[in-house]
Amino acid sequence: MGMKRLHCLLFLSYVYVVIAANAKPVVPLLQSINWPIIKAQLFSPEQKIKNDNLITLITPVRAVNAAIVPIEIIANIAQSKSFYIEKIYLIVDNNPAPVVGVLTLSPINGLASLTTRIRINAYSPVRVITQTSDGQLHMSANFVKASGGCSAPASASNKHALKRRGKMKLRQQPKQGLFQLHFMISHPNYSGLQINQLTRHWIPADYVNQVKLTLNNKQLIAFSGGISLSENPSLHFYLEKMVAGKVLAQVSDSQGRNYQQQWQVSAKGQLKPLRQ
Amino acid sequence: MKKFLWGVMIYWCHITIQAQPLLFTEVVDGLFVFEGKIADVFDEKKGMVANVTFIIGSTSVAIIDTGSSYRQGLLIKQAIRQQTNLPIKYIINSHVHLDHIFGNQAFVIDKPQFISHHKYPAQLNAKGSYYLNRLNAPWYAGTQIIQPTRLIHQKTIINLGNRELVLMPLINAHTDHDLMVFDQKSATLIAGDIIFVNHCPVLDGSLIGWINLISQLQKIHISQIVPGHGPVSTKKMALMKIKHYLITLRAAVTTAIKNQINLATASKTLLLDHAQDWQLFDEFHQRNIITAYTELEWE
Ligand SMILES: [Zn+2]
Repeated sequence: MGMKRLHCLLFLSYVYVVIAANAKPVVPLLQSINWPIIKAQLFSPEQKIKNDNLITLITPVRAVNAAIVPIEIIANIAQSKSFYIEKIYLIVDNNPAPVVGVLTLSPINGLASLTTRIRINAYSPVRVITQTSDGQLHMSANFVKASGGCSAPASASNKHALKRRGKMKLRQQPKQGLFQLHFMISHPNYSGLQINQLTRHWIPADYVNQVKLTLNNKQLIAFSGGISLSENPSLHFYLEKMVAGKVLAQVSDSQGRNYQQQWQVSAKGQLKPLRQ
Repeated sequence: MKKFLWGVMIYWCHITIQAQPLLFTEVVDGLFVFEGKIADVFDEKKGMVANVTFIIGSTSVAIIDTGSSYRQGLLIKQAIRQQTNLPIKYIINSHVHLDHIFGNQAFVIDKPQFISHHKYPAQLNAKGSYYLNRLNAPWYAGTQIIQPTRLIHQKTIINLGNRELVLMPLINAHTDHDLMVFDQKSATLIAGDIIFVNHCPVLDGSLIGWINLISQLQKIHISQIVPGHGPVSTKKMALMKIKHYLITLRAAVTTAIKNQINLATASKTLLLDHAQDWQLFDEFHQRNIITAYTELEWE
C-alpha cells in the first residue's frame, strides 16, 4: 500500500471521528487500518470491547512535543476486592510498535488512575483498554495530532539520561484519601528510530521493557512494554495505603540490563532510598 | 478586462516583491539587521522569522544566521551587495534551528568559512534531514544542508579588517550549542536565540544554564543586543523580560514537581498569566514547561 493511500485512510478515519464527535457527545469508536490487526493480536475474537465510561483517557489534542506526550488515565471506579481493573493496555495505533505497554494492577492500588509520557510518531488514535477482574474489556480512545515522536532526535538532556541510566526516584503524596506514588527511572529509552548524532547511523533500540514494584514482597504495579515510552520513563499511580517496610523496584531493559532500588517505608509512609 | 488587469498587477507585484532584497536596517555603523517576522516558521510561506545580521569591516563581511531557505540566502546576499562589494568571509550560525541556518547554501560560491559551535555538527546530523522534510513548501525547493568548516571550542576573535568580532561558544542554554557574537567596535551583542524580544522564548537546552548565562550577561558592558527574534533592544530591556520569564518558569515547575503535579496538568496550568507578555505564547509556552519539567525533575 502506498503512503498516499495510507494517509487517505487515516484522514478518512479522522473525518469520521470529528463528525461523530460533533454529532453526539459519546466517545466515538476511533478507527484506523492498524487497529483490527492490533486487536486480533492482543485479544481473542470472542472478547467484546465495551466503549463505556469505566475509564477516561486524557490526551492533548495536538502534542506540543511528540517525544513527550503526557497521558492521563482516569479510573471511574474504585479498586475493590470484588471488582477491579487488573490490566491496562496503552496503544498508539500508528506507532511503529503500537503497544506502548501493559500495566498490571490490583485492589491494593485503591484506584487504577495513572499518568505517564509516551512518544507518538504520527497522527493516531491513542487508546486505553482495561481488563476488569470479571474478564471484560473496556475502552477509551482519543485522536492525537503529533508527528515524529519516535524518530525525533533525543533531547538536549539525553546525555544526562545516559550517564544516569538506571537511577530511580520514588516519591509519595496523600491524595484523594489514597497515596499517589511517582516512580521515575532515568533511561534514554532509544526507540531504534533515532539517528546517532556523531556516526549518523541508527541508534539501536534500547528501552525499559519491564518494571515491577513491590511493597514487602506484594506487587504494587507492573509494566511491560516497548519503544513508545518517552525518555526517562515516569509513572504516577495510586496505593490504598502505605505500610511500613520496604519497596523494591526491579527494572530491566531490552539490552538485558537489570536495575534495582529499594526504599524504606516509615510507619508514617515516608520513603527513604536505601543504598544498594 | 479590469479583473484581468488586476490579476496582472497582483502577479507583477508578487514578482517584484520576491525579487526585492530583504529590508536590512543599519543599527550602528556597518552593522545591518533584518528583523524576522514574529511568527511560527511553519505558519509562514517563506519562513523568514529569524533575525539576520551582517557586519561590514574594512576588508570583509561576516553574516550571523542566514534564514530558513536557499532563496532567503540569495535575498540576503542581494541586500549585502547593495552596501558593499567586499568578500563575504564568514558565515556564523548561532545554533542549528531551522530558521537560522538554511540560507547558508547561497554563500557556498563565495567560499566563506562556515563557523559554528563545536557541538553544532552533531545536532546538524541528528536534525538536518528531519528539518528539511518538514520544510516542504515550494519556497524551500532546492534547499540543502551545508556542513560547517570551522568549529569554535573557546572564545575566538575573527577580524574583518578594522573590526574584531568575538565568538562566544556557550555550554547549555537555549540549546546545547549556542554561539554568540560580540562586535567590539560598537559593543553590540548578536545573541542568537539566547535572547528573545516579544517572541515567546523557546527552551531546547537547559533552563538552569540559560538563567545562569543571562545573569552573567548582566555584568558585561553591552550597549545593545540583536536578539534571535524581535527588535534590537538595549541590554537592560532585552535581558530583564526574558530573565523574568525563565526564573518564574523555573520556580513554578520546581514547585509543581515538589507537589507531584503531573506533567499533563503542569503543562496546561502554569504561568498562564504570562501570556500577555509574549507573542506566540500558545505555540511555545507549553513546550517550555515540558522541557523544563523533564530537566528539573532529575535535579
Ligand atoms: Zn532557536
